[in-house]
Amino acid sequence: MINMKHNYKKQIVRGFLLLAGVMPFAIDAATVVATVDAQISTNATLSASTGMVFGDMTAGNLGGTVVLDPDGRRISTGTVSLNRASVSSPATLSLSGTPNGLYTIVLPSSVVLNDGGANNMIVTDFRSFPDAGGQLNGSGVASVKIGGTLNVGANQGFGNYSGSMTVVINYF
Amino acid sequence: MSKVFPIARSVYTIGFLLFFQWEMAYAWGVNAANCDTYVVPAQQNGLQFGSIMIITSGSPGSITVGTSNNIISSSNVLPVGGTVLSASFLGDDSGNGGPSNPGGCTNRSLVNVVVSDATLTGTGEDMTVTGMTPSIVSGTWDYRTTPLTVGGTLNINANQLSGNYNGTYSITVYYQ
Repeated sequence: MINMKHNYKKQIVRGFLLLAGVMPFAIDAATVVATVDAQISTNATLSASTGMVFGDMTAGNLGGTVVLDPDGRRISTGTVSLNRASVSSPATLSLSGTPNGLYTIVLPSSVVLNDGGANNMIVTDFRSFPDAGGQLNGSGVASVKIGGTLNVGANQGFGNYSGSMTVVINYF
Repeated sequence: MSKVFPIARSVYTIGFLLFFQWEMAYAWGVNAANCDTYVVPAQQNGLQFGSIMIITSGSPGSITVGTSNNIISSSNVLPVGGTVLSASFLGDDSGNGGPSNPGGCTNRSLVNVVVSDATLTGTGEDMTVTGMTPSIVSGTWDYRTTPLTVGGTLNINANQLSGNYNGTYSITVYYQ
């Protein structure tokens, strides 16, 4: 009798052990360390160091153009003659942002210059260097030079002409 | 005594039958629910937020990458390129009773996936990534073919300095 009781207990224990062995509630877990990355760019800044200056000239009876290249060279066409002693310069823009950041340049199609009265001239054919865009250097700065073509009318009125232009820099 | 015997016999019989069934499944290696493959998540690619430009540097911002490699929201920042990817994981069962082994299988039943926050360090103040969201938290995971992806939100501080930031986080998968 004692042995039989002992066997019952052993059978019960075995049964529960077997049940525990097939219980589907055992949960495995595995952990790994993963990586995350981001690159932050500060907002780009754009400033005009110098404006575009075509210098002194006389129009003549037919007028013509003054072509100012981004590299500073200046030539005239038509009856326009240049005063070579006067100062001329392309516009210079200073751009700063994230080192090696890319940018594109959008130039205006035309800008009207006015003498403060009734006389106007138009600047067209804007060109820049770099041509359409570029890349900031390792320090995050770049310089953009801009020239254009000043259209001078026949017997253009004497005076100082000025205007403003909008240049858009798309920064990536 | 007469009451104890049938109970003991029943418990033993049920236990034996279930054990036998489990053993058969183990031998054939076809029962996904009972397979014993130990799976470790293996990163396929890290969570990447790409290049981000802060619109107003004096204000904080955030950007959230979803589980499908997509930017689902941003605040005061502008994504400007670079690689944007949610984190991606497959299961690694190498050496842990994979499908070619007795009892192995090609999928496991996920119970939960827990992903910690991350801290990113770099040239400026530390940033955090919070709200880590796994693409799967329960159900069958075909861990060899179906990536488990994770997205999250990068929290950018006011006046965050430009540069590269990186960090780590942990992901734990619980499965049966």
